[in-house]
Amino acid sequence: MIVYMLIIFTILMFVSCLFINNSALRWTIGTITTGLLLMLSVALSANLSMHWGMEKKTTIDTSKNIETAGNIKSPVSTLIVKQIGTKSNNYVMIYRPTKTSLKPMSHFVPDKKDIVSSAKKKATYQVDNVRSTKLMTKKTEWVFKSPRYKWLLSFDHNDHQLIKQRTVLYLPKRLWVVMSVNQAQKLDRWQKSTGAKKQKMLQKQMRLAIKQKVGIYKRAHPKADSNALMRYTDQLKTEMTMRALKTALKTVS
Amino acid sequence: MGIDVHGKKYNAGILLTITLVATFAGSLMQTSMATAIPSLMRAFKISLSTAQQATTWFLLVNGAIIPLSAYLATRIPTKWLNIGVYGCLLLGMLISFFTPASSANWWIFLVGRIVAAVAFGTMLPIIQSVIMNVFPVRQIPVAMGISGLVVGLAPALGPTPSGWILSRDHHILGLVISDSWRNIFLIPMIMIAIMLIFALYFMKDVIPNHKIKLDFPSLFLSFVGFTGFLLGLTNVADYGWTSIKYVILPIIIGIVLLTVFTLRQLKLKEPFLDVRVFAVKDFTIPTIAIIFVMMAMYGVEMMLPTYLQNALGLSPFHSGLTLLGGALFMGILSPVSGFLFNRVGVRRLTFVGFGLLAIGTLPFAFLTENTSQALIIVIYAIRMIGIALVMMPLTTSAMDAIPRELSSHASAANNTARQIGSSVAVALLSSVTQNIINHNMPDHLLKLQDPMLYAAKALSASIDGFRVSFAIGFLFAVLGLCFAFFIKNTKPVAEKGDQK
Repeated sequence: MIVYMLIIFTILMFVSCLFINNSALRWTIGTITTGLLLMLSVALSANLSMHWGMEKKTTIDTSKNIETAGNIKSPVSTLIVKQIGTKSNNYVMIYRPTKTSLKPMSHFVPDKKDIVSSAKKKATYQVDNVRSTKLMTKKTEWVFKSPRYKWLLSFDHNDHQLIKQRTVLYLPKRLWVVMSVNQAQKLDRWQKSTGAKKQKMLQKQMRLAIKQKVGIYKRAHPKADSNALMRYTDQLKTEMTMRALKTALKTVS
Repeated sequence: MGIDVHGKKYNAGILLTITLVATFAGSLMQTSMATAIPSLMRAFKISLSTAQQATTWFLLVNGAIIPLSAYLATRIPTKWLNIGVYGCLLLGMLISFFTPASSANWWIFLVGRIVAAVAFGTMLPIIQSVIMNVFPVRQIPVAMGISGLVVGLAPALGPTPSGWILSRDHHILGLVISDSWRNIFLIPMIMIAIMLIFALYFMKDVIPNHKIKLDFPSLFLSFVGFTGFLLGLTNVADYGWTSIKYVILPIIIGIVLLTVFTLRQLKLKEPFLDVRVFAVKDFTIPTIAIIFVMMAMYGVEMMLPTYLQNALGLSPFHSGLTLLGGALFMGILSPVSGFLFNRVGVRRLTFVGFGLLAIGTLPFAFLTENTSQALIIVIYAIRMIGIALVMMPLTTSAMDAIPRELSSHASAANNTARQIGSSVAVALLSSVTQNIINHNMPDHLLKLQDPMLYAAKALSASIDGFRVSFAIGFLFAVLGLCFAFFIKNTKPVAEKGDQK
């Protein structure tokens, strides 16, 4: 509305100051219209500089889940990251948005055409003792304090002006491994160079080790049912894959 | 049909058309660089303040040459003067057009701009002299009105066609006009070249010639004085206000030389620029007010396209279009202001005009990286309405205060003052903006560590610079408003006569 009011009061000031012949009437209406126009200009300036009529509003969105960037059948999920700069703690992250996604995709890539908005957004990750993956986005925006302020000051979608957006991807330490794009490429090359024969041999060794440990577990827990044994087997698979992956990462780094 | 100084017949309409089209082409060049500044900065790898020299030097030389134009018009036959001036303008444009784009060659571009400015500075007063000599008295106001519209509207329009050219490659009649900054010169060059050919056939010697002496020391003092002053202001961008060698010294030398120039003018029988007209209070106050209008106008107009492109990320075309609405308002309202001047007098118009200028400029001082383009169009249009309301009435009021026999001197003094004022405003604001940008710019290490934060801080530094620049523009408008209190409420001569 303020844009329209600026136009209207400019016309009114123009007409009242320059076209009214009666001096008293001209002074009265001219002063009122000029004063109102000045007030509008000051209000607009205050809104632009100090966000007059607006307040900060923070929203938190934690709905999203994510899937591995690596082999979907692997018990250990992989997140591939690339830090933007060397000390920004702001990452482009590669993962599958859903289980059905064929290929992993890049997320949180800054839009170079909209640096203003991109510069306000930051994404990072945290590997922690959490149960499942959680993508939490905390967004702070300027919103109008009341419908009255919105009516007066809103123009060209100036409500919900982004102040900052922080996204944190929480990953369970037990199930996820994070690697850089460089590490992922090296790991891929290493896996290819080791050959299928050696890979099969390593998997066979892992199966044998799991079998042995499950046997020990059975003896220690004679009352354990099949579900408990399956859970223990999965846990062992995950632990061993994780260990193997981390060793491989150390080897290639 | 009129008769020239040799007794030959000529067509006044054709003469006026040739001079107006040529002046329009030259006038476009005053501000056409505004939208091209970011392109020039990229192409030549130069800073904002250096790129703005394309405008500041043009305006400065333009202003400094105006007093010389009266001498040239009196000494050189009109036809050859016009041909020479058009040729000089074309040459200047060609030099800039063909300048190889690198920072080492920027001076060649500026030489082209200076040559064009010398030509254009001469053209401006000639158009008035031609009108005064070829039209009967009753037709002079109409011809002056048309010329005022052309000369006044062109600088406001300048940034828009440049923006259109820079937006993308254009295909016209099978020809490709690329989006290069060079092509900004193309349309004015074609116009000037055609007018140059027309002038060879249709231009006549309409201004009587006689021998007068040119005071070369005055020419030297004014040129070097103004150059030193402007150079000092331009250097603020890179060296700050405290640099004795690059800022304070050139400004002091400039002021000293200009003081010597003024004292010399007071002693000369036939002064180069008759500064005595400034002794008339009713001439000086409106002239100072005009300087503030020009400073407020150029200050924002020359910085705004760079803000729109670098801070809001608009294309050159859209930045030009943003300014078009205001330019059109100015064009429409310029003749209306003449009518209003007759109706209400200069004082009330000045108050309303400066009031609108100040009200429209205030929000510019608080623009952000998110400010809507629609809002900028509206507040820019309000500014331009204010400018349109005061420009012509103030000029008329200033000229009315001087006796008719001194009007050519008054006109030269008035034109010089406004052009110099514009160049000082552009140089000062560019320098201040660049200085603030340089000062607030984040460390280069941050670019490696956190490029997004670096980009955000760099943008914020730019916006801080632009805000200060626009705030100074607002200050000029407020100062103009203060001067409005001292302006005598004159009405046109005809009306004064009627009252008698």
